[in-house]
Amino acid sequence: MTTFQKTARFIAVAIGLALSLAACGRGTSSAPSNDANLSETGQTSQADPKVTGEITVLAAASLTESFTVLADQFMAEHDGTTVKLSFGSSSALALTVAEGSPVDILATADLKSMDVAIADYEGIEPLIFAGNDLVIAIAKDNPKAIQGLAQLSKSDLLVSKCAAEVPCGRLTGAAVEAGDLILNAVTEGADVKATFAPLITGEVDAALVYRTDTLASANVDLVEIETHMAQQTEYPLAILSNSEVAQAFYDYLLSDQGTQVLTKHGFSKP
Amino acid sequence: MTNPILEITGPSQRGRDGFRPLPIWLAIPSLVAVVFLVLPIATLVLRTPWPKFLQILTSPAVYEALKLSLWTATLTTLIAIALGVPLAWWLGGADSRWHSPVRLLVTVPLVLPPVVGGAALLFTLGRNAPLGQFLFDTFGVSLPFSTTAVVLSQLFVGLPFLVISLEGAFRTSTGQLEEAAYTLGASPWTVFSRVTIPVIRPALLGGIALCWARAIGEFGATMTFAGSIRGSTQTLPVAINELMGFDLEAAMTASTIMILLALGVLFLLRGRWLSGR
Repeated sequence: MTTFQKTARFIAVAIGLALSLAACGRGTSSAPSNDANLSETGQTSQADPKVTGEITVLAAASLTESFTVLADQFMAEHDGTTVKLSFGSSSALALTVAEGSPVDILATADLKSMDVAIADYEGIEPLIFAGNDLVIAIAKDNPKAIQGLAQLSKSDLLVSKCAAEVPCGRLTGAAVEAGDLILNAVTEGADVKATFAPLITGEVDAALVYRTDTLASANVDLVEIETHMAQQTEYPLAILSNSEVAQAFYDYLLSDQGTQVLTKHGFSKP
Repeated sequence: MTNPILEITGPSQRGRDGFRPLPIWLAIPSLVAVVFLVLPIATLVLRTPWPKFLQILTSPAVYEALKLSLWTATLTTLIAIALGVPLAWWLGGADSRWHSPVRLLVTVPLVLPPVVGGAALLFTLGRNAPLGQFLFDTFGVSLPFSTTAVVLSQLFVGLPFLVISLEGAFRTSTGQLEEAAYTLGASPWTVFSRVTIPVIRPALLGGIALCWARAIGEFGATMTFAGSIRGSTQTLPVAINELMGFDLEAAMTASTIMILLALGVLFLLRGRWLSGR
């Protein structure tokens, strides 16, 4: 009877696949790559030895565009490497690291999140590799004529800001405190991209995000925050595994090429 | 107990057995309801940048997520069949005092917010949970934030769906036929494979399709338990959530892909191969 055979085969396949999946467990710890194949002397302009393998990079949401570009360039230059990216709020990433998320490289939007993430690691020295500023993102050509942060205080303008627990939210809190303002936001984002989303869809008049977010979007302009309230953040980078690919990507991020891409996306040099 | 979901999507039960004039005070709310449900989806599909559709579909972010979604949802469905069919068969069989409590417990994930399911999985299988720690220390397996976690998240929300859809079918359509087979001397396995399964085939296919649709749309549990790692845990719904922050065209395209997949499932459910009722 075909139905029975089909069912039996279904079940066999399902269980087989489930077992093989479970056996794979963590992709990062799978078997080493086979270097036994005939080496083609490719035209790798790089002088460094050939590294192959897969790494997972967890990075702050504000690094989405720049790290995507950097990972693609790196993989194009290093055959046989895979860089898996995961973006989110730095504080959430720090917690996922503690819960056992695979991670080779971590880049957060402030030192506090980094400290939380590497609490269980020994001898990790995070390195500051970029900086960013809090700005007011507005619709192109500033239809609401927004001049600064003070104007958003107790006004009818619709504002989106980051939740207080995430780095951009901490900066926003510091800015508001420095200016002794009251900022009523209509929505709070779980990370900077979620905070920026209502602005690009036109749901709010202003969003308190990073300079880099505003540069990534064509129909968005920015207004600087008044000097006495202005806030900067620093991005620490840490390597949390002893993978060669991780080391190579880490070096790539800090190389002139890496700095160039980050600068192009609006990050300041440390 | 028949399955209300299949009643809606299956062939019409009533047929055209009478004309009922629709009073205006019922017509207007009906129309509002239909417009409310159809308009947003239609608008999204229409606003999708169709000239760029293929280009966006094949871009790494969307394509990787789509591929991951398709194969994990399919694997989830296979596992759900392997685990869910026997359970539904038992639930739909001869009455036992264990049926009610088990049915209740199995139904809980169905009404739970998926994000709670994800949190529950994380607090059970995470690095700092007893069971998770045991798995890690004994087998070196860490489940959270892995592709396995994606499948487990989908299974947590999809399996109850399959069980509840099938239970009614097992209960209503097979009793007498099974009894006849037993009296003719068939073994329980023969009855199950030669009588029960063929009889409930339409309901089974419907349940499978719905389970798959539920798995492919899973967001909350996946986000919490599997995270959002491109290529290994970022499914299409999770990718849409991320794209909403910086690339609306890609977010729209990915959403439209999901709509097309959902329509495909509905189309299959309405298809001829389900009209064996």
